[in-house]
Amino acid sequence: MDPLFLILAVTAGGIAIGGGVHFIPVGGAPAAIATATGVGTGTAMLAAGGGMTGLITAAAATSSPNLLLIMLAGAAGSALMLGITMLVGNWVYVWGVACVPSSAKVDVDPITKYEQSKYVTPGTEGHGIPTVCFVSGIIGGLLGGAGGGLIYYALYNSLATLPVYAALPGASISIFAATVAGIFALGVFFVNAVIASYNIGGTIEGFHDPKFKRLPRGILACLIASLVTGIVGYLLVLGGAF
Amino acid sequence: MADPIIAGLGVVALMGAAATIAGAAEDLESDVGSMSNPNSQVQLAPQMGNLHRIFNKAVSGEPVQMGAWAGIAGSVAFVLINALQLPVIMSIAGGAAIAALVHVAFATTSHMGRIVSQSQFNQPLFMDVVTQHLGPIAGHGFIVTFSIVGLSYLMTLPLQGFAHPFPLPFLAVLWGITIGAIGSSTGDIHYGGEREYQQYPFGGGIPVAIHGDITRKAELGARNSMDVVYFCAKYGGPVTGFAFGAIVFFSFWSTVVGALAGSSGDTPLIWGTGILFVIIILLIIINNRIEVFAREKYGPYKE
Amino acid sequence: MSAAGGPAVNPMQILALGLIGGLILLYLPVLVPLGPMLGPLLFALGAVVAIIWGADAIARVASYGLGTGVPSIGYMSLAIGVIGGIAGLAGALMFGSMSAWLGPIMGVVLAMIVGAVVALMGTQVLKMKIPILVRCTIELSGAAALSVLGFSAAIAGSLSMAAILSSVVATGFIALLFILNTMAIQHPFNACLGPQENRVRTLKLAGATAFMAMAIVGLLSLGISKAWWLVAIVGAVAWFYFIRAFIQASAKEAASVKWSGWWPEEDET
Repeated sequence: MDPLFLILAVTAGGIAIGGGVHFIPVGGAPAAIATATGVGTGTAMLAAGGGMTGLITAAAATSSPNLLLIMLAGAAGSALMLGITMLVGNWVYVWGVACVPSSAKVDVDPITKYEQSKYVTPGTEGHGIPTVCFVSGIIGGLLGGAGGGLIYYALYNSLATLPVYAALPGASISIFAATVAGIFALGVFFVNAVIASYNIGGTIEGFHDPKFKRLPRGILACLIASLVTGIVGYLLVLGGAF
Repeated sequence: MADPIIAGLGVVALMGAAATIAGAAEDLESDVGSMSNPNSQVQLAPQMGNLHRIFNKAVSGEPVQMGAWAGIAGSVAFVLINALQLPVIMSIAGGAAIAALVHVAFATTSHMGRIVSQSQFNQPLFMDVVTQHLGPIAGHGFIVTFSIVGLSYLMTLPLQGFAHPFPLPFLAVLWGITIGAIGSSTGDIHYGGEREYQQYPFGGGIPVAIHGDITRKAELGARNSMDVVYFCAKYGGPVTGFAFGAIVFFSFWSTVVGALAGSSGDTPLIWGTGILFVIIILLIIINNRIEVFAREKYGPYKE
Repeated sequence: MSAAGGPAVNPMQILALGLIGGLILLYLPVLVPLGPMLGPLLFALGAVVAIIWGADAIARVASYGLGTGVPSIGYMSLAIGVIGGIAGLAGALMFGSMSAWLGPIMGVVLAMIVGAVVALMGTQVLKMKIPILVRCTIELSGAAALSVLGFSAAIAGSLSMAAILSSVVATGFIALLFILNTMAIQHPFNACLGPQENRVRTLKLAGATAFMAMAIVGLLSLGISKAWWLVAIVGAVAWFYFIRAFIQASAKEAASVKWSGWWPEEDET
């Protein structure tokens, strides 16, 4: 496969992952005690969980030669994980802690137009996951999962054609190429998720958050880091002819 | 020979059941050890003059921790299955037992490390807290790793819709990271948002002004993390189990049900992925209904 | 913020121990035929010194407060280390099989390059204000690559790409090494975080986590390497030594150690 395709795929996938992380509503430790809006965990942690589900569903589609389908499978897996996690998180906020999902960063929810400030507990920055955060999180999951699927597809198909990585007799999928591509996609995912979480400084509510304006810088950082990672990844293909 | 789709659905149901148990146990493990984000308040309490007898299990983020334990269990089970040809169930139990030993060592060192590193606040190092909590921590961890490795093993079986290209240790690590992310995002809020601050009125978030003033006394004597887990087992744990079970169930249900549309080429995959997108849209709608329910039932904040 | 209340540890010494010691331990079994028993043991010990180096590097950088917690920089560097390490092993073969010996050095250097790029993105593009971020991320990425290569070689019995591909990557152990070494490197400082963090005590814990990882690696090579029991037993015995040292140090430095009862009454706070 064309070396340029692999490097471009890793770069594009890295940008999709890094950009997607900016959409995921995370409130870190304050959200875990209902003091801030968003999911109560760390950015890179939640993104990693979603990304791993996406990687599992994308890899389950390895036998398909269709790039778009593998990306969609990854996107669906990630978005499903984030969607169910945010929904059940909201159950706990509503019935376990008894607070109304609301954000203190905006006066009205940009999607539903619900008023927010009256429902925020005084002394907090909001709590729970209102609709705008939920939709934003789904978008983030779709982007991250699609990016992971793209990287996995590109490396798997670059490697599977090499004689060393050929499928074992009787198998249609090369386990060597699949595991190398899997660990590589996992690595690129973690690198870009952490770069993005450095950019947003730990917490963000979604695309309506003022911090979201930092997205271009995060994209630039992910672009350069992923480009270098892609070139390093190409060495796997270069040296695979042994 | 049973219909492969029916057999596949049975396996998916079994995986979902294992995932539900794993999810519930994972959340309770993080409550009895007090880890992840709510633990920031246990960490903060002595600085605010609130000494306590709660376990401080600062191992790392839950995803990394659970990825490591599930990965150890899965890898050791993989070795026992392949190198020693032991029965699968025994191998998985053996792997989970090794992971539980590692878990105990990490839990002990993180509690000691964190408590000793804030000795200026006079927080004593209670050795009985360590010894009493290690059993429940290891036990819950064992259930999690056993279930995760079990469902990862089912994924690698050569059945239609399964036969995942990743080997068992790899899948165990991936599912471990996922379950950690879910546990720290869902059930932990029940511990952090409610149980840690139970002396304050129910309803509403936790204002910044009371951070660190955690509930330190129980019905009888000092509260320890075992009292926390009794409470969280009533709601936080089960819903976490539901979340992980639903994720595992739906992500495979789609490929198995997709095969109903035809088994040639990409057809099952296209249908399966399409089903997932429909479920995702339904999730957005359900979440909005819950938000509206809370707004109407609880109303604006009064005081 | 250096180690308060204890003898400071010289970062240069730890760096030398990890980088030079690690590379020597990795290359010794390649250069000198030591047989199938000693070889894996030295590979694993190479990974252990690299983990101790990484634990010191993470302690230096994370005491600045990254805003995302200690673990995130840990798994980022391990991700870089795994990518760089495998790409280095494979990439060395593009000059022909004679240059395979270049693999480990190339893996460490590649990881350090990617680590440098990521850290420069952090300081230059994202404007993070941590003066030692670049240096420590480079060190961490190198330590991560060395630790992954060392443990992989200990399982496979050699540092050749073909052996590691079939017995570490295709079995999925590589994913475990990624997350296990993340734990071993980030846990010591994450667990000892606080105003009275003492670097010597932290490094005792680093020895414990590194040798525990080594013991598990020994178990994994059961069925692949003849030296599995040697690696596992040496790892377990050394783990016991270090965790004993850590627990004794903790008991000595704690405000008080109690086996029962209430916390002491505070003056009105």
